Amino acid sequence: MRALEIAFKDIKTVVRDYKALTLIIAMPLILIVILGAALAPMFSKEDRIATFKVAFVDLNGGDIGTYVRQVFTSEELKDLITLVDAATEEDGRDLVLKGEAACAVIIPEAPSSTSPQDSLEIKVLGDAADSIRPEIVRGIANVFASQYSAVYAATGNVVEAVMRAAAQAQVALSSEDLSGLASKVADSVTEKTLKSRTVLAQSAMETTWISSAQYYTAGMSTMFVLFGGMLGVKSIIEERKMHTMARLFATKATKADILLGKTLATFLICLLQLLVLIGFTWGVLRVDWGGPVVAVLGVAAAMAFASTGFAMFIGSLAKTERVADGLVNASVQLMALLGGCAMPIYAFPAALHFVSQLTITRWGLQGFLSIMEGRGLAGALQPMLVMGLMGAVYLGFGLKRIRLE
Amino acid sequence: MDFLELWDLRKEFGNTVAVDGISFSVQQGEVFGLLGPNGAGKSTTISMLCGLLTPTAGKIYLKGKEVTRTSQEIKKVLGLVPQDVALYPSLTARENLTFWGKMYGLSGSLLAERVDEALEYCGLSDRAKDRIETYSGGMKRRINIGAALLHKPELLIMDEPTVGIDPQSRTHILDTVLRLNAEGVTVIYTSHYMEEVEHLCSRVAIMDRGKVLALGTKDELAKMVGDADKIEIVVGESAIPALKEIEAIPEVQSVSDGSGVVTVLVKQGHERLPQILEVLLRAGVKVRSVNITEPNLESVFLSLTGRALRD
Ligand SMILES: Nc1ncnc2c1ncn2[C@@H]1O[C@H](COP(=O)(O)OP(=O)(O)OP(=O)(O)O)[C@@H](O)[C@H]1O
Ligand SMILES: [Mg+2]
Repeated sequence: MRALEIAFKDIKTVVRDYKALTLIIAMPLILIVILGAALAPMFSKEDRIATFKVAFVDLNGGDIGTYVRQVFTSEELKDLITLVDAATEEDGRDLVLKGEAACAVIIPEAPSSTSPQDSLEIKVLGDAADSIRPEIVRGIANVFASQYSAVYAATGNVVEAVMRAAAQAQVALSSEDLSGLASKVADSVTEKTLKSRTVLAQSAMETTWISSAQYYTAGMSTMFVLFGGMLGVKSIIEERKMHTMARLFATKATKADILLGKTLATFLICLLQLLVLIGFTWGVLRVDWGGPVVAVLGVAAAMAFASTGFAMFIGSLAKTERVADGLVNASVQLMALLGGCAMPIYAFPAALHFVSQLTITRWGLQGFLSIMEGRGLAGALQPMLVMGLMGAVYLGFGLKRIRLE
Repeated sequence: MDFLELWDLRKEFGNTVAVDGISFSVQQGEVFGLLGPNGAGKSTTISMLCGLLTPTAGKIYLKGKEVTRTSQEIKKVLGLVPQDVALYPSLTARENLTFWGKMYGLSGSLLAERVDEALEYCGLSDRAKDRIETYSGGMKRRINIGAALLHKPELLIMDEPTVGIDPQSRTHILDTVLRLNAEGVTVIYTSHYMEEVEHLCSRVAIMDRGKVLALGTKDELAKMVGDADKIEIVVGESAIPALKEIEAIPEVQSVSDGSGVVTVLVKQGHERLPQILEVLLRAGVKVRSVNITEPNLESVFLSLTGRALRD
């Protein structure tokens, strides 16, 4: 009860602090508008992803391999994808790990065109840190595989129908005739599907790829919520300086009340900040946050929690406001950069992808982006979980070490 | 058993000894004064009383029960007016008082009632809706006191509540202390203003450098310096040649000369004054003004430490 009162008091204080509001609300909004507009070309249809390399492992060596290669080197995709041949799956994986290819496409040994099977599976290996490029390639491969199966079935049907008709008409058909017919059918169907396939690939890209406005809305919200957290912790330092902390201890409020109150205040400030940012960008700037709403709120809450934990951690290291400010500015900028808030992660060298995973921002951003890409709650669960864990570790450490008096 | 007892209380901060083994007791219903210059250890003593600091050594008993840092017992009984204004600047007076009331466990209509009452006590009911940051220093100090009254404490501890404020607020605060005391509140009043302590307190402890130098009622303390009056003579030029002769006058206890003022401690000052002036005139010293003060806490402090309360 006392903890809640302390939290409400802190929120009231922040809401009346124009300087604080400028930092946590106005600044990110301004940056969203500026960055979203200025960097829009980076996200435009032509340049949104610079050409990237795909390792191509053709274990099949037959028609299927040739067809898939044709798809990826087609007119529609050649500006986006460059194929790099690799002999084995291992080689392909190596290229991905070294960052020399965004992903690897592996065409299985079987089926071959001589012993076709009903289902074809094309494996796509990608760096988990890159949520976009392997996803595009995977989409293309999947559609191709299912179309291939359809072509196979259609060819079979045609040949069967021809044989039935020939039997009725008492016409003798040689096996050469039949296979010639089958391959003609297959070729024509394949050609058509290839065309429709590349069209499909493009339209798939358009729906999953997000705009610069979306990207920076997610990025700046994720970054600035860390400043929101700092307001909560700075209020502890401030109360120490203003002597209200000593006065609190002279009342019936216990240390636990005060710690819980401050934690709650920090969390609620962060959450409110995110809700305002989401609400404003969605309602006024018309940024599409994706859905469902639960997923967006879930990521927002997890991010607010992680920010709270991080703030308490900083608070336990810094004794004065100036030191806290310095620590925060440095760490938030570093985290924002590493987390991809300022620049998409896929543009990083591979070595930084791992470091990136250690930042809160990266997971917050990934959570919001995956919802924007339409992957719903399922896509946001992992980031939420990681942020929850990170928040808990930071918070545990911070609460244990923070000085109230 | 007294209401509040301090037993050989000591507090060290690293190498600094802030409070150096002090003992005294406060009786229920009195206004107890803690008088001492800057750095005497008054605030440190109070912080230990309120359970905000753990003593390095010694014990505190409130109504016979030992006070420790975690004891909630004392928090119900005690209202603390901290030396520095401890309020939230961006909240209004009413919001501040309501918040502190809640921290003392008040709620609902009782809380609203007590907040109104406290505002009344502070004489600031009409400014209740203004933010503390718009208040004058004196008004802030009044609300600072109001915030300690909400839960009707039996013991009110005030740490220099009148530092740096206008005479009007000061009078108001002093009146408030007497009014609360008349209602039965025991008060510990800390100050380095001798006049305030003389005006308010039934008993006074004089502190300096962590120690209690003297303790008693005003009269008891005054007797320590005997019945010597203090005569301050503002002179036009150096009076050093005349000092020896003044010192030789019977009943004169001490003479000092500093920055154009000759200070003489002497019994029956009024009777001895003509004699002293005559010496000065004979020595060719021009006398600008003369002031006689009867024994007070200031002179007690002076005689105990050789320094003035305020430097
Ligand atoms: N937290 C602290 N750390 C180190 N030294 C301290 C601390 N608090 C007080 N002191 C020292 O203890 C001594 C007594 O300080 P205290 O504040 O109790 O004096 P005071 O009588 O209240 O003085 P004032 O009239 O200026 O308020 C001083 O020398 C002060 O520097
Ligand atoms: Mg003090």
